[in-house]
Amino acid sequence: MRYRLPAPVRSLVNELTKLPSIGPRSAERLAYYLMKSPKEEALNLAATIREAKEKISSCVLCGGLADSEKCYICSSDSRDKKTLCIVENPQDIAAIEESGYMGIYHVLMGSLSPLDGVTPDDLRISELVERIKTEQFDEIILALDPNVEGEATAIYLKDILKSFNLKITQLAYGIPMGGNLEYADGMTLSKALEGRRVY
Amino acid sequence: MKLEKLSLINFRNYKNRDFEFVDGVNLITGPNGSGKTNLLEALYFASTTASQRTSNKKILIKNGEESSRVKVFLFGEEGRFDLELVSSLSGGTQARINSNKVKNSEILSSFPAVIFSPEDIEVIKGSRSGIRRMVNINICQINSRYIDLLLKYRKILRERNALLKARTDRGTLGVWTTLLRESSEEIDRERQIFINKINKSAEDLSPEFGLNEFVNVNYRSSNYTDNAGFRDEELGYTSWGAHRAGFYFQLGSRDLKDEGSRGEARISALIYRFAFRQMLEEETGKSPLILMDDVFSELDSVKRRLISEKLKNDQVIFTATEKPEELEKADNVIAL
Ligand SMILES: Nc1ncnc2c1ncn2[C@@H]1O[C@H](COP(=O)(O)OP(=O)(O)OP(=O)(O)O)[C@@H](O)[C@H]1O
Ligand SMILES: [Mg+2]
Ligand SMILES: [Zn+2]
Repeated sequence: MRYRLPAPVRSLVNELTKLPSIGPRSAERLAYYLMKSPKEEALNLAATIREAKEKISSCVLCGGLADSEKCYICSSDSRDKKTLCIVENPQDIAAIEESGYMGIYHVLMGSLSPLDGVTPDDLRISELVERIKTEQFDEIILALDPNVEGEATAIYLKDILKSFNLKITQLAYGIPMGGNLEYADGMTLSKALEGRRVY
Repeated sequence: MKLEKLSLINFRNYKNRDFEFVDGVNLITGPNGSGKTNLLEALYFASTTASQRTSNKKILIKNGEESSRVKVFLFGEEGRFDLELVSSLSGGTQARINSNKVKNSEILSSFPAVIFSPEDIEVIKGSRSGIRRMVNINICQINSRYIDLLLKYRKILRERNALLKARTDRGTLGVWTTLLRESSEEIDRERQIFINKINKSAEDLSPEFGLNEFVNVNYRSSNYTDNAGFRDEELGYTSWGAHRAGFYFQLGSRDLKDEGSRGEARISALIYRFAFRQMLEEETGKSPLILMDDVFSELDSVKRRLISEKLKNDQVIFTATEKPEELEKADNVIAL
């Protein structure tokens, strides 16, 4: 007979498995660790998650993480507001910031994937079109993940954006196809930005 | 590059067994069903991470066991090294070189091998997908980029099929069509380059093997058309592309699938494999290990001698139920 965890621990394991790259085994290990750790440590973790979740929201403009209505990048006076870099996820902003990029961002919140059921309606594309109409951009940089979903999304966006007569460029990847933007280091990304191709 | 030793655990009928080989001619003998083909299959698997006779990797694992290990000990320009494939029923195959984990594609360039097998006739006279599989494995052996092209193609295909199956959101179908077309055309190009080289060698080899027509492979790509696009939407899946393309073995302009005798298919397979061996040697700069499964039993003595002559500088492993005359001088005989 397989050992049965007490019900509350089982639901904890169940919640933990929902986190990215946490499988059932790791979830069990984390749950055992939390049950064993001092009470205040576990409660502190719970409180920190709650606080972060309650205070942080998406920036109304770019969709990145923000602790007020707008994120610090969108509120800054020293950023180049004429250059917009489109990324898939909030964590991609951190990767591109490392390259020394000084423009601003727009987060799509994913990429097109029929397999995962992601359609254009699930992405922040209407928000993007709205921004292009109101803010005056000189250049749009497509910095999507170097995988087939990223490529598909880029093709789709180029088609939508072509009526605005903007300069659209795409990262010149030194990153192998199948990769993930957030795992590229600052050096690779600054190279990719330098060598970006006009579409 | 020379094979020195093979060590099998739970592979096909083998529980736990080691075999040692010499440079030159090795001969494996044993009655029907004793495991001769399985042994060559293990070596081919170590070379290509694929089997010559099945795409179902699970049946390579001994019945009743959870995992298998195939390990080969090699001697190359870099000195001695070993290469290991551990496969499990649940989770695919992990490759290691000198105990370090490597991508499966790295195996392909380390240990080139060519197999001549009686099943080649069935492949040539069989389904389009069987020939495609055989040629795909061979292209992977000489072209390190090709496996990535295939994987990317499959990913795009799965996405496009998911979209077609859902029968909604046609707004993005064009995007996936564009991507799939590009990817498919890239694969077509690599395949055509490969086939051209094979056909060139086959032109020299055909008369040597007593044929008065040239053995050649004809590649027919499967291209997107507007009509195919409409058909896809009706069918709910992709009906064109690199996964539907065909390789046709021909003698002159006759298709061997429908019009060839078994003897003609056998010689054509032999010529294809010899052409590939030459190409593999040229492209990798290494002399490949030659695996000859029961090849002599079906050939006349002239062809047997021709083959022995052609392979005289190679490391070869033959299998046979009984020792053929031509192999009296085998350097190493392993009786199963
Ligand atoms: N997964 C497996 N587990 C256990 N035994 C297996 C497995 N797959 C195949 N076999 C056994 O291996 C044997 C066949 O071996 P193999 O095909 O290598 O024979 P062979 O020596 O080449 O025979 P032939 O001379 O007829 O070509 C069969 O008895 C078969 O049952
Ligand atoms: Mg056999
Ligand atoms: Zn912002």
